Order: sequence, then C-alpha cells, then structure tokens
Amino acid sequence: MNKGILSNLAVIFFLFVSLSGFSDPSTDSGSISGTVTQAETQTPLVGTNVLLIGTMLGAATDSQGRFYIPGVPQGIYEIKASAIGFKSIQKTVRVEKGQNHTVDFTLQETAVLMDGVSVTASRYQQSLDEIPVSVSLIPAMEIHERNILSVDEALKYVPGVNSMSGGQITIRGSSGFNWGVGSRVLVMVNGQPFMTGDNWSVNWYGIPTANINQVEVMKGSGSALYGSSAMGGVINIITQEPEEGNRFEISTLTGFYSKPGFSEWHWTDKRQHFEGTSVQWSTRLGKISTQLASSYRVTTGYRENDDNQIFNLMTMLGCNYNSNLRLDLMAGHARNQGGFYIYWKDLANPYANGSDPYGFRSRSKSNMTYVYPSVSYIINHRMLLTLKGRYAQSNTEETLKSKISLPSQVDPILDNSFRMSSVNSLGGEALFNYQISSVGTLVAGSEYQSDHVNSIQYGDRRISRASYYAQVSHDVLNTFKITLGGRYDGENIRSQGTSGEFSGTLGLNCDLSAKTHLRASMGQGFRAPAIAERFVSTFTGGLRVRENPGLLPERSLSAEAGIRQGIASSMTLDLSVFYSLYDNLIEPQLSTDPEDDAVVVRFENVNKALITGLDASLRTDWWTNQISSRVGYTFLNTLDRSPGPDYNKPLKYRSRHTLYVSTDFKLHPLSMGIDFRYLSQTERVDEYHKAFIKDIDARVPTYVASLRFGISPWRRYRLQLVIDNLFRYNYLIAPANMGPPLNATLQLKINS
Amino acid sequence: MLDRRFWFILAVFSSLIFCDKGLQPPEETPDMPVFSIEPLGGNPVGSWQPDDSLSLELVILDESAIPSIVDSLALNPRWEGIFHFEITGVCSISAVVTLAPEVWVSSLPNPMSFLFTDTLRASGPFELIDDRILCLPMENQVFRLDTLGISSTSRGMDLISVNNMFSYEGILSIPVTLVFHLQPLATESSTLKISALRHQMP
Repeated sequence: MNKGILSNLAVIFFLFVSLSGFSDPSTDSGSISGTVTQAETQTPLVGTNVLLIGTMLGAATDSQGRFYIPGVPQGIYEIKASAIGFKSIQKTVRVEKGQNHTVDFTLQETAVLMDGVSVTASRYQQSLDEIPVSVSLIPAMEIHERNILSVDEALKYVPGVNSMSGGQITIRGSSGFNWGVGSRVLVMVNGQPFMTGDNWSVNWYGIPTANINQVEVMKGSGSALYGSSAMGGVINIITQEPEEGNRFEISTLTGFYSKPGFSEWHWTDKRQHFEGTSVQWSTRLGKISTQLASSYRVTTGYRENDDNQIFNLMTMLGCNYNSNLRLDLMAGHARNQGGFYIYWKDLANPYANGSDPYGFRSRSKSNMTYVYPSVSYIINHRMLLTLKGRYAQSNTEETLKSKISLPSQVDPILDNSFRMSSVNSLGGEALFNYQISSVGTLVAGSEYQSDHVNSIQYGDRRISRASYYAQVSHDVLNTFKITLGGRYDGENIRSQGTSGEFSGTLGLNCDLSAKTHLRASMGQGFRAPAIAERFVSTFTGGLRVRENPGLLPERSLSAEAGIRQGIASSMTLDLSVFYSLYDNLIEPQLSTDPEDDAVVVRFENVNKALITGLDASLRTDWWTNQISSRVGYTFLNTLDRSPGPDYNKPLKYRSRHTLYVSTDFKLHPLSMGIDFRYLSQTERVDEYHKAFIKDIDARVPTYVASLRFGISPWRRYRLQLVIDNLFRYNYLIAPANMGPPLNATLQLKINS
Repeated sequence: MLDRRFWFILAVFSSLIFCDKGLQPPEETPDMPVFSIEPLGGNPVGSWQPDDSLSLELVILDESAIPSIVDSLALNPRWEGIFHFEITGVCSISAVVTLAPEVWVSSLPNPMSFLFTDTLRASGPFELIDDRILCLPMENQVFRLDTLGISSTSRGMDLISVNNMFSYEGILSIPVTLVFHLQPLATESSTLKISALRHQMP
C-alpha cells in the first residue's frame, strides 16, 4: 500500500482514538423532540433542519414533520428550525439529564433572504448569511420544472455561471473554452469529488437528477478548503434525505428538435428527437435508509454524429447505528455512448461535424463505477469526525467508424480504439468539525487521492495528492464573523517528483440588521495541471498535440465584497463585486516541435489575467409565492495581462454581460414559467483554433427564451411542457458549436 | 403610465428578438468543381495502389479539340505508385503517370508513337469537402491533381481529376479527365495500423 495512504490512515486513527475519550457518557444527556408545521396550512413541514446552535447536534424532520435529537448534554441551548422558503425560528430549551424535552415550531412562508437555507460551502451546514463568499442555490424544483436531465443544464440559469458545450462550467469567467480539459470548477456530489482523474473534467452523465435536493454554487476561489481545481469555484450537488416509509417517483419525457433556422443548414430529413425516463425510490425503516435513483436517456442530437445514450444508477444506503454514529454508502454506475461532436464543419454547414477525421465518424464510449463510503461519528455535542473513502473507476474509449463501407482489409483495423483512457482513483478524507464555543468553529481535515491512468493518448501515469486543511471562524459581538483558513496540497507524479502549494483565505461577515448582511473575503487559489494537459500525445483536426510534462500549477488571488439586502417583505437583492488575478493559466498553444520540425499544439503556461466584475441578483415573490421572479446580471471585465501583443486585450471566449430573467406563475393545479438568457458576444477567439476550425470568428450575442407549462390534475401526477429557444435564435454554446434550435419536451411525472 | 411603458419596452424587446435570427449562413457559396463523372463520395484513408484490372482511365472531354488532321488517337494511359492518406489529414503521394499516345494521321503511313511521363510527388495536409471532393497539396504538375472527385466502390476507390490538358508541342491540346482506379495496398493492414499508432503513443 502506498506510504502516503498509510501515514494518513495513522493520523486518522490517532485522531479517532484520542477524540473518543471526549465522548459524553450517555447518562449525562437528555433529548429533544418536536414537530415543525407550516403556519398557513398547519401541515407538517418535511425536511426542515433543526439545529442546536453551538453544537454539532441536529436533525431533519420526517414526513410527519417530526424530529428527534438524542444525546444532548444537559444545559441551556438555542434551537433553530429552518427550511427553504420559510422564516427561521430560534427558541431556547433547557435540557435535563435523562429527560426528553418537546419543542414545536410553526414556520411562516417568506421570500426574504432565503434565510432558511443551509449550505455546505464551509464543509458544515450554515445559513447563507454566515458564508463569506457568494453562494447561489438551485432548488430541486427548478431542475424538475425545466425537464432537465443533466445538472449542467440547470447551471445555465445561475448568475455568473456559464455552461458550455461538453459540460464545461465556468464561474465568473475563470475559464474560456478548454475542450473539457482541466476544469477550474470542482464539482462534488454530497461533498465527494465527481471529476475524472485524467482530463479533470466533470462526469455529468453519472449524476441522476431525480434525487437531487439542491445544487450549491460557490463562486470565487475555494482552494483554501477544497484544493486544486476549486480555483474558479465549487459546485456541490446535495441529494435528498430519504423520508420515513416508501417513496417512489417515475418520470418519462419525450421531445424533438425543430429543423435549423435556414434551409441551407438542413443536414438531415429525419426528425431529431430525444426520450428519457428516470426513477427514484427511497425508504427509511428505523435506522436504515435506502435510496435508488436512475435515469436512461437517448437522443439523436440536433447535429451530425451527436447522438447519445446515457444510463446512470446511484444507490445510497444510510444507517443511524446509534445516536452518535452514522454510516453512509454512495455507489453507482453510469454508461455513456454516442457520437463525438466537437466543432462544426463551417458556417455554411454548422450542424455538420467538422471534428471527425476525414471520412470517419468518431464514436465514444464511457463508463464509470464508484463507491463512496463514509462514517460520521459525533464524539460529543461539540465534536464531529467524518471519515470518507473514495474509489472510482472510469473508462473512455473513442473509435472510428467509416462513413462508407471500406474494403474488408481496412475496416477491422479502424474498429479498434484510437483514443482510450482508463482511470482508477482511490482516496479518502478525514474531516473534523469542532464547535470550540458558542461563537467559534473549527474545521480541519486531511485528504488523499491517488489516480492511476492508463491511456493511449496519456500513457501510463500515476499521480498522488495529499492535503491538509483547517478553517476557523469566530463570532464577534453577535454581529461580525471572521473566518480564517488555509490548505496545503502536495502532489507526487511518478518520475516527475513532488511539489506543493499553499492556499489561504480570510473572510468576514457582518449582520447589520435582520435584512442586511455584508460579506467580504479574500483567498488564494491554485490548480494543478491535469494529466491530460501534461502528457497528452494525440492529434486533432490534422494537428498533432504533444505533451508538456513541465507544466506549472495555475495560481490565483481573488477577493470579493457583497451585500444581501431584504427589500420590503417580498424582495431580496444580492450584490457582489469581485476581483481575481490569475497567473500561469494553462492554455493550448501552437508551437514548433524541435523533434520533427512540425507545427504542434501543446498546453503551456501562458496567461496572466485580471478579471473584475459585478454579480447582481434580485428575487421577488408576490401573492404568497404565486408569482415569483428572479433576475441575475453579471458584468465581467477581463484583461489579458500576458506580456506581448495581447496585453490588456479581453480574455478569449468570455461574455462581458450576462443576464438571466425567470418568472413563474402558479395557480394550483397550473403553473407557467418564462426563462430568458442573454450573453453578450464573446470578444476574442483563440488564434490557434483558426488553424483547424473554419469560421471560428463567427459569433453573435445569445438571446434564448424558454416557456414552461405544468399541470397537476391529480396530486400524484404532473405533466410538464417546456419549449426552449422559443424564437428559433441561432446562437453558439461554445466556439463553432451551434446551440439547439427550438425544441419541445413533454414530461409526465408520477409519484407515490 | 407605468403599465404603458412596460408594454412598450416588452414590445420593442420582443420585436428585436423576432427580427434578429442570430447566426446566418454565409452569403458566398464556395466554388465547387464540376466533374464530368459524378463522384459518389467516400473515404480516402489508407494506402492505395493501382487497380490491376483498370488502373488509369483517360476521358477526352472535348473531341472537337482534336485537330482534324488526326484520324485517330489512342493515349494508352497507365500509372504506378502509391497514394497514402492518413486519418490525421496528411497525405503522401508518389506516382508516375505515363501516356504512350499513338496518333494516326491520314497523310502518314504509320501512327506516331511517343512516350509522355509525369512524376507526381506531394505530401502535406489534404482536405475532404462534402465527402466527394479531395483537395491535395499539389503544385506545378503537368497533370493537375489538386482537386479530385472521389468514389468508393466495393473494389476500392476511384479518384477523378478534371481540368487537365493533354498537350504536345502545339499539335495536341486536349482537355481530359483522368480517373485513377485504386485498390488497397497489398500490405495495407499493417501500414495503416503502424501509421495510426505512430500518432497515438506518447
């Protein structure tokens, strides 16, 4: 076994054993139980978080609105109940030894500040007002109402976030277009990374949407707590907690793409369409909870060689072994196969695939299997230790199929894969949460991950990363909260040696009033080059791509200041100004290869960049949430600070202005919604792309409007129609990548 | 008043969106060569040699260009060599086209015979347009093979070249089309495999 793993396990074991001595004798504790109901309807509120302030103890309400918190040491506590869309309530309770105390809550609906929302941006549950960086949330409802089957589609509606073709996510302009390699945004599911070990891209196809509770988008550098690739932000997908009893939900959808906007662009006489089914089943029986979510979707795509089939399955097992110990297991498998569309042929044929080798179609097959176990142990009411394990295995294979039948001597050879990558990742994490006092919190931990990549295009590579982090936050005068943290990441690549990076962060929160919350933060970030960026050796569009093992990590320094302001009783404004300075940004560049004197593409540390900007979002709700509206605007001023002719020019593939408007009308059993997205035209393109992509300069602003209708004729049935790109606008979702033409989706959802 | 403004802004906004269709097809249409024989399309990747049964076909496009003094003309075309196309979009061509024309002139008792040879050597990126037209990095050749129509058959592949002019010292100047009939190189399997691997392995 690797030496790094052993040393980390030893540290974890030592921590576990030492801290177990702090356990409270159960005889000294009591318990708290109660119910949470909705004020207007007097119905139980499911999934409400009930937390004992200043401790690690808490519970979520079940389907009857009931909660139970055992093992509470005797004393006086503040207990807080919070739920999305409701005003939080805090009460005082005195806990006596061996007694159960009943505390009931009645919550009133509110749109103000979304103060009931808990997020895990700091590796423990906090309300939005306690976090020093900007966080946006996507509730499950927004994903389901848009008939979305892949989470990256949902991110299109978050201010400051841009979701590009191929599942590439960029937050506040941190990335341009990088062909899905070397993400600067870390994506996690329940706090476990969901990135590929070779490309360091996101495995979106492995994440079912049926069991999502909410998606948390942390903007700005998260490296001080989450390490490499969190330089541009962190996205954490939180799944639902199974309720008492059985819950089953099935949804099936079908849809079609309209023909391209101009007859010259028609490339097929066949109707392009898509279908999908997703199921979710969950149950809780005593101490054991089980959840299963799965989806299957198939599409012809709306472009040539863009067809795709995806299957995913995620299972979750939970066991509350006793009041102090909880065991969890998240495991799953996913498959993805289809065409491999990267960029268009030219503007005269924008739906034709220009990225296939001459006369061939690239076909791609991927699969992934993962097992993520975790153990949470409440050492005492102030200390929580969580141990997480990670094992993931993924394969990606690209094959070539001739468009016509070839002589038999040639065909069998081309069936073989010409790009293939297999990745085995093994890792773990020990996370320690300590409520130092009623005003102070410590989060500390250690992470280890080892990736073994075996690939035609990347070679046989092994990379190990170990990291240690700590973050302390402290409340001052019940108004200010100071957060200070740091993380050290060490990396070892076989035959390349060891390197290390430190990232620090400082944050400040200030509650000026119940409706006015200020925040400010400053943090360092870094991203270690992905294996693909370092070692790739392949070809694309007739150009050879060569390895560059000497790549250095990217670095950043970012700062932001923001305010969340409640306006009247139905409006919330969130405003941030931000600043990010990047160094050593890695980008593909054209260069000359001394080996064979040919022009090649190579990833290089070329860019220094400065990004400043503003994020604004406004949420309004009227008539007890029957009409709600959200507006998000982001302004980006990006400057290339690399010495040379491009100095002070805008960065490539970034939009200066983005605007999202979304309005929902609800009148039971009907609902209707309108979404509108605007992105200004990207100001620059990559010169090297011009070498092999035709008409790469063709760009326009993006205006996309969508319409949603829903009806729930019976309580368990819901029918939803979504019409996307209503005005049949021809826009780009990435360089030389047409966005989908008008498309309509009809979804039927049935739940038990 | 507020309502009127709102509807006015909404109307202007909607009109803008309705009128603006975003990206549009380019106005210029590319010049496509016209082939006397319809190319059916196909895939040139691989290594190719002359088809044993029918290696080079020469079609005279304009019979009237043959001087009236000529009673009969046989061009007897053939070629030797290899066309090699890689999946990376790079090709290398090494071929020799030979014509052995026999010209019958009424005033002469015997046909005139002579040998005409053109060496074709080229390497560099090639391009396939609409699966039917192959653009090669050819320059300054007697026979212009820079733009070829392509037809794949069960037997192999045909490359069709137009815009060629067969000339001979002012006596003949005849527009011709060349059709190269190719079959996979005997050692095609191993050649292609090695070629592909060369670009994949680090």
